Amino acid sequence: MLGTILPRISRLIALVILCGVLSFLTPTFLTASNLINVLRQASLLSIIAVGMTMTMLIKGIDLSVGSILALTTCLAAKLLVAQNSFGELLLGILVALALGGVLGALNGLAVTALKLHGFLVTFGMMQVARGLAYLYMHGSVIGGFRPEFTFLGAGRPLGIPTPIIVAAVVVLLTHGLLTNTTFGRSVYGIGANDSAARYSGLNLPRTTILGYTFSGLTAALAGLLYIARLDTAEAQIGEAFNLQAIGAAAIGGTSFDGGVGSAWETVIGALIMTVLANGMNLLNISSLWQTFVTGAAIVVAVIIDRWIATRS
Amino acid sequence: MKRFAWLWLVFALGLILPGLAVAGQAPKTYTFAVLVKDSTTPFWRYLISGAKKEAKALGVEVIEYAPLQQQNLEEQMRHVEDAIQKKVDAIIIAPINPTAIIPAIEKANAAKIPVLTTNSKAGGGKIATFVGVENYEGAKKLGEYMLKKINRKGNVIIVEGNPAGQTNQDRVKGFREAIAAAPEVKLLAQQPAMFRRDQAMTVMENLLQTHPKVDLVIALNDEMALGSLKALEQAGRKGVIVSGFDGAIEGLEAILAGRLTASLNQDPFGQGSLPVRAAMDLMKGKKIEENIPTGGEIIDTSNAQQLLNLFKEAAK
Repeated sequence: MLGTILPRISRLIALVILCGVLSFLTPTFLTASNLINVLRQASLLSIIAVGMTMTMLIKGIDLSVGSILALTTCLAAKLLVAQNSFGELLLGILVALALGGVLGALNGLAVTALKLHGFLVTFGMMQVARGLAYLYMHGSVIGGFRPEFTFLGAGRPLGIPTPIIVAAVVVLLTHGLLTNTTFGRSVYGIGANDSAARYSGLNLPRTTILGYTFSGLTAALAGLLYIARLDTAEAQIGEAFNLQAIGAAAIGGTSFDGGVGSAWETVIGALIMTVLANGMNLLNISSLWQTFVTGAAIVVAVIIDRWIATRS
Repeated sequence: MKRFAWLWLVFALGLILPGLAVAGQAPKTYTFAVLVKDSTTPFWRYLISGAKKEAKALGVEVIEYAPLQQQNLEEQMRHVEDAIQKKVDAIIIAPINPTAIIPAIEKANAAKIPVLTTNSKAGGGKIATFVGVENYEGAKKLGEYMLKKINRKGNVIIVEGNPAGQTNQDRVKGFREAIAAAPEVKLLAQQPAMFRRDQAMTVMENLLQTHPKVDLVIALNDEMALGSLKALEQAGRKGVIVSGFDGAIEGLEAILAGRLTASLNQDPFGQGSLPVRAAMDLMKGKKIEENIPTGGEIIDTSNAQQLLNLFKEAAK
């Protein structure tokens, strides 16, 4: 019994061990206020990382999430400021999401039509989108958004920060999409065995395009929450997200060869990364050591995960 | 396949456009290369605009080099080599790392191209002049000013930038010395946020979890000060004062709005215009000073408006 359950929750165990160590080292870690803080910080990364997981499941990857996040939010920002009407605010949100979807779809189109690997296509998109954001903003920043909008980043309906609620909805939807729909079967089908999936009648190009569209959408959505929290849009925002999202998916056990991975396990990966950053701040670990400590802790977490998975 | 040909066009355009925006035109009398630390942070845009304005006034050409990735050392080294290949008449550089840049400076020395540093110092090679704020002295001065605001007692947090950078180290040293001289002041934490607003916000949120009483937050640039402020405001922490460093538009506006308490003027325009003028003097065979100071004064509500007007004029 234990032998079948343990490998499925090995990542969760790694996360629990990490949290255990931190609560032993600092009394602040295991307080309700800090745990909510960590969840709020992890929510944006989780939203982007489930999009990333989708592209990795179809044997791809999306290096452009950070740039799509920046470009979509910069272009929408002027519509979101306090001087504008509520209608313009809604339009701004729609523009950002639609643009994220379109940029993602372009990635997917290029992957299917030109038969290129997602790495190449999204590497190009990463530079193109970032470059356009730089050109559009020209070193300036846009801030001072409508209160309804900043509520998305800083609000607390029923005491729970809005980003956590949005992330929970996105993760649940993604989970449902992957496990209960034809699209989901098609996604795992591509990853598991391309040609078998083709013969079984699944629409592969459509699945690929939709997969990348989904990733673009999640990046734009996370971007909106991000600038709502900061109350500022700027072109250099979110550069760190590309690697963090890939890291979260990979720590969550998503395979780079496609077909293996899930939304909730990716969220565990995102939590491991966020908990680490939080712990280092709480412990006031020397700045010079932080990069090393992050790397070492991730390696240890992955080793614990694999050890449990293979032992049982 | 053909249906997607336009996709290539979009990609190609996207790649070329940023290039066009940066590339210079054919050289006139003299050509100076200006190398900054990244292509996006507003501070470096002001430095470049100062350099270009001065170049226009003097009738010389300026080629701008900025790493696409923030603080990308390897890219900056390639930029120096590129400038040497282009046979520019002088290289004006804000070194990302003082030691790592030395070989590149020595290459320029060997090619007999004068090197002027601005904003940050280089640790070696032959340097014609350094233009900029003394980060260490400026930080110490600002630190003392801020400590006086909390009556030289209480709890302090330092939000630092890139821990390996010289600018960062000099500023940290200045602030820490000011803090060490005040026995009733406790440094609670010193944590990195890479000079980024978003990262500073996250770091400050985490630190506020574990430190219930904070009196002063010292951020090593304005961007991080604004990120820290956002975290303090969203956590509902009152009575915490914050200082920045740079004194560019957003920082000045935050001072005038009463959110930021003080900053240190780096005079980014001067850090662009003065080295161009100095390089021109060199071309004419004039002697130039080893150190050319810019800014260095504390900015608070008494002088922020005046500086803001300068930025607005420059934008015209």
